[in-house]
Formats: sequence, C-alpha cells, structure tokens
Amino acid sequence: MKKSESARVVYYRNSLHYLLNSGGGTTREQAVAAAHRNVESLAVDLLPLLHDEISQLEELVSAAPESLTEDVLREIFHRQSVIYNLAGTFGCEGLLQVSASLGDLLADMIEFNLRPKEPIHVHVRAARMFALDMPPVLDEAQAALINHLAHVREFLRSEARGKSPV
Amino acid sequence: MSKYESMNFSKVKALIVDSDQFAVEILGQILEGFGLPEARSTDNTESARDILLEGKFDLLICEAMLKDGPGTSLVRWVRSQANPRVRYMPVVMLTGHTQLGYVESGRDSGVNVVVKKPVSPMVLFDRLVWSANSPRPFIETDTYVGPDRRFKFMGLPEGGGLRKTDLDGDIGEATEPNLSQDEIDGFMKPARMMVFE
Repeated sequence: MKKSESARVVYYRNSLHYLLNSGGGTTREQAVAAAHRNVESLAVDLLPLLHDEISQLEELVSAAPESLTEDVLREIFHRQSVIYNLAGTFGCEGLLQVSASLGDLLADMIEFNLRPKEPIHVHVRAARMFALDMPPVLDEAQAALINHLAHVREFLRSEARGKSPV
Repeated sequence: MSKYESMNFSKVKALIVDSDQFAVEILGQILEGFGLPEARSTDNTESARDILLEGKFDLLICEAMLKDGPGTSLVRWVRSQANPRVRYMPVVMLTGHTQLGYVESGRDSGVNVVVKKPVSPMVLFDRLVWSANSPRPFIETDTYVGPDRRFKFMGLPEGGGLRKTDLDGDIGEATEPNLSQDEIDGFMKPARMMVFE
C-alpha cells in the first residue's frame, strides 16, 4: 500500500468460524486420520492413470513445434501439475522429483519468455522412466537423473541471464 | 495434540476451483475426512463466479493456475464483491509452484493462506482452522482488499500451545528451489509478529 492511500480496517468474523466452532465435529487427529484413509482409498483408481497422463504429456510435447507457443506451454504446465499432484499424493518419489523439476523449468520458461522444446522433452523422457509399468530405477541412477535435470534447467537459466522477466 | 478442540465441518459449504479433476477428487476426500459431506467444484473461473454469486459458501479453495486464467483473478473478484459473505470469505490458494513470485502473487490477490500441493491433510486442516479463527482484520485500499499482510506468523507454538485452540506439529517440508509450507506461511505475513495469547 502506498503511503498516500487510505485504508479501511474491517473486523469480520466469517461464517466458517461460527460453523467450525458450533460444537460437535471431530478432533484434529480424527479428521486428519480419516482424510488420509480416504485419500489412500483413491490410490487403486488413480495411480494407474499416471501412465495415461505421462502418455498424454508425451503426445503433447511430441506434436508441438520446436519453438513452443504460449498455449502449448500452458497445456504442458497443466499436464505437469496433474502428474506432480498424483505422484506426490501417492508417494511416487522419483516421478514427483522429475515433475517438480519440470514445473520449475516451465515456470522459468514462462517468466523469461523462453520457448525451446528440448529441455521439456528431456524431462518427459525422464518421467516415462518412472512410470509404474517400468522397471524400478536404482537410487543412484535416480539421483544422477535428477542432477542431470537440474543441469538442464541451469543451462536454460544461463540462456535467460541478461533477459528481463516479462 | 489430544487437547485440541473438535471442529465441526458438517455444515460447511466449500467450493473447490481446480482444472485438475484428480486434484478435486483428492481434495474432496480430504474434506470428507474432516467431516465436510460434499464440496462443490468447478474447473474454471467463469462458472466459479456464477456459483459464488449464490452467496451460499463459507470457504473457497482455489488452484493458482486454472486453465482459463490465474486463480488470483478469481480471488480479486471475490474481494471486490459487495456481499460480505463473499467478500470476506476465507480463501485457500493451492499451488504446486511455490517459487517466491507465485506465493507473492497469491498473497497480494487477497488469499488467506497458500497451501503447497500435493496437499497434506494436516497442513490443510491447520490452515482452515487458522483462517477461520484468526483475528486477522481485513484491509481495504484502492489497490488491495484482503487479510492484513502486515502480520508475521512465527510458526505454530511448540508443545501444547499457549491456549487450547493453538496447534502444534510440524508443517510442510522444504524442496528447493520452491518455498516450503513454513516459508510460505512466513512470507504471507511478513512484517509484524503475531502474539499467541
């Protein structure tokens, strides 16, 4: 807020406050435990869909031009978010790390208006390695792969140096 | 924390706005675990506005990046409404991208809290209760309407807390280069210490 701006201070008790404190309900421990159970029960249905999500991401990237458009980039961002959330929710650590790296890459690309497809392609290939129907990746190989992806991001950032965020 | 008061979610009406149908499903199950029987959901800002205009909702949970635009634009719209039940409703923004700029953008749009995806039930529960019970006032200026940002959250009290409604427990974990949930909480309220009485 600028110093010249006038500010109104409002004290307002929202309806959520009254409802949560209306008596009855469950304790924090009970609520959190029940939520965990409910989420775990979804794993049977949702985990197999990770394969499809990776496939859709592969198709999207493969069909995209070498210099990505804004719309394609946002669609990739959406697909990445889906994979990241599913992998994180259900404990697919390798896929979580790859999709997190892809998310960071996409954020950089949007911020610095960079549009090359190849860094994304590298991440998508890595994501496929962690699909549930693939052989398990050894810890050392996983660490090396994540490190490689970090280098890919750093390389892109080095290209962005000197460019102002859009 | 065994002494923590029970919270009654059974009559809470929540709207989830997220373009990711799986995220909606997961979030719905988390809320159901809290005792909230059924949350309504939509995947875009336009229908979210129509639904919110019904004025029946107590809570908005919104993804930061929706297919048809940023979630922050929806939050700004909420904070511009004349109906106080809409204007001052608690808004939780969810995001998998917790770089500083994203969190800053969420905070400045007027959200109550930003929660990192994938959502941890404990983190969400604590933030919902805090959003409901915090005495944090709303600030209305020409350029900002939302919870007071001049407010520093020093973390939840250790042990049993100073009062029975205080929370304990670890929240979030750091994953570089994104902000951890703790860092997000700290950043949401950067300038003044909150005193737990």
